[in-house]
Amino acid sequence: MSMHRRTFLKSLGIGAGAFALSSAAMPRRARAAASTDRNFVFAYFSGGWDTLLSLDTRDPNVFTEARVGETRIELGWDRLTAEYRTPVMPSGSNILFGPAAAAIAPHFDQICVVRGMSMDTVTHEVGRRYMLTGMVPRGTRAAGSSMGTRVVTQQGDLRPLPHLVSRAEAYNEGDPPFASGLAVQGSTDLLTALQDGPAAPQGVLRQRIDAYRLAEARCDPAALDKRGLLGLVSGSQAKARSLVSSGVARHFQFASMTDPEMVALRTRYGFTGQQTNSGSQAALAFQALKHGVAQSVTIELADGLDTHDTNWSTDQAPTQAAGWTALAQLVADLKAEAHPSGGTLMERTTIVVFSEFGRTPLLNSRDGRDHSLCGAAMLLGAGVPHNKVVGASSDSGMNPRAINPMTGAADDAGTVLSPTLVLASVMETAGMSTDRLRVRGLPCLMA
Amino acid sequence: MKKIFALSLVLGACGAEPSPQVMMPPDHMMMPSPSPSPSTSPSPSPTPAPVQDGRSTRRVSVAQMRKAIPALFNGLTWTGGNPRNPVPMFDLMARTLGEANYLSSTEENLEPNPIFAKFMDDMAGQVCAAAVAADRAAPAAQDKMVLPYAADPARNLRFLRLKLHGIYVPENSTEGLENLQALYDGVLGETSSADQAWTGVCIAMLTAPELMAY
Repeated sequence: MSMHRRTFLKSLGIGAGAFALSSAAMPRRARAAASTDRNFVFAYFSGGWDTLLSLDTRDPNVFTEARVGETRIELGWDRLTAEYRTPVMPSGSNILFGPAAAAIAPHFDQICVVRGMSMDTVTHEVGRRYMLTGMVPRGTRAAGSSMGTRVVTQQGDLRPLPHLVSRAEAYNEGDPPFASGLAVQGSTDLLTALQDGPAAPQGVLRQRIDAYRLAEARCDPAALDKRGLLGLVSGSQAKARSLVSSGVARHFQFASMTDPEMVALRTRYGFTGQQTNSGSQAALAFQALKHGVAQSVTIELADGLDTHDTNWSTDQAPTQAAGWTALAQLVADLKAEAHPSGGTLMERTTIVVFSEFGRTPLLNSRDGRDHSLCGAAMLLGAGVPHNKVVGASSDSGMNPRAINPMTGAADDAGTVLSPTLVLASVMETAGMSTDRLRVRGLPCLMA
Repeated sequence: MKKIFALSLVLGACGAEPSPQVMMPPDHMMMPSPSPSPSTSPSPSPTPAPVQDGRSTRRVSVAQMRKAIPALFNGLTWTGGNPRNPVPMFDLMARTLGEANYLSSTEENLEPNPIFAKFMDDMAGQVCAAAVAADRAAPAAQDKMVLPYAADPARNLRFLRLKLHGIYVPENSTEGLENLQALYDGVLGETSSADQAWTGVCIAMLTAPELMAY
């Protein structure tokens, strides 16, 4: 069931005036071509994932320990527990998944794996912000708006929380305020943000304060509102009230022992109470899309992947696996959930899964893996080609290979994939302008 | 060059076709000042509103609020959790409010977003209620934080306007206070509680752009 902003404003009797203040200079209507019926999930695996264990794996029978000197690729899976030693390729799949990504493999019918993406950095902040925004950062500072902000800008303000961000970064550079990410640190935080605190004004006090804010005239706009900040403050206060009064918090009461929906959610996603883990993050995204709370959700699905030392053998695979398992549950739920306009939610949702870069194909002297310029990503759902691999890394050293932009196959005369190209493709396939990214999408990445 | 320029102005203004003869424009068109000469009759244009150049307005940071609230309210600040062991909420919610932790984020998010607005309402509700209660218990006016002139609402509003917003309102003026007065009167009328009314005024002023932006 979708909920519209104006419904909440009417329920407060405030009207649209305060909202108009917040973005009076910015267009609020959706672009004509942008798909307003598309949800987005941007799922981040933090720390730099070992793609040999997931998206850019190798056959251990071919890439053996004996051939490391030749291939410069050292799987090292003998150091891992038994469940992480065998890649997975379900029947009918064109994609070989690494052992840590076994959980997502059954959903190959929704997946496009992107390999050989050149990250141009081995710095966490730079790689992360590059993938978040689609633009090369200025030093370590993000350039441009994050993807959630971009897509919401073009779709328009369609939901109570158009752009929800949990345990990730969000940026707004030059886009309207309504598209800014509402950033929280997990479901507990979100719940706190959507409910009044114990001492928040209530009843008569609340009504009179809201009326005061509406009536208060800013007599010196040049002094404080030259850049629209006054409007932002007023609009944000009104938006905060509408969110609290809308009651959307009930969809995130994950600790409830009496709500059957919450009990089932905890069981499916594998978390307890308001615990923050991969499962609860994925559950947050599902609830936000299912109940029409958000149109774009950015979540951190896994953390702690920066395994330079022996923690590679103990932590990398299980941490990735937790993220992939949570994602698999999210995809399963989206496939099962009907969309109000027909079909399923998954058919109207595009998911982008990424990390800041990959890890070196050779183990270092501490039996860990360092940062690699060669990255990978996964696209799922609406608008992306399914059961397909686009791009490749070299079989010697795992360096990005150029590809044919039409077919996605390796082609030395072709184009090297970059986050910008991948994200532009995601936007273009949703009917959105990619002007800000300054490139067009690649046909091989668009269904 | 000056004469040619002047000629072009005259001809442009008149819409006439260029003439081979050089004509001198009226003196006032050559004056460097944009002000019309006394010989012209149009009414003077309105004085343009002063434009503030320089640094653009920004929202207060979490660090600024963390220091400002106790300074304004004699040590009172926003707390939460177990009442017997309260935790400073500016610390607990710092990340959500946009403060950089210099681990995963190195930049302060100073956007006045709805989450920030909502939590500032929570903060103001708690701090103002506590301040009003403390003031009622304080014996001397100089010890009161928000109600030194509670018996004279207009004077107390001027006091709060100066204390919280840094805006001086002369004794014989109500500029900028009309809506606050209406807020006070409205809450008092509906609740019959002056404490509630002053709490409402305090919340409204604490969360106003005059304090939240600079």
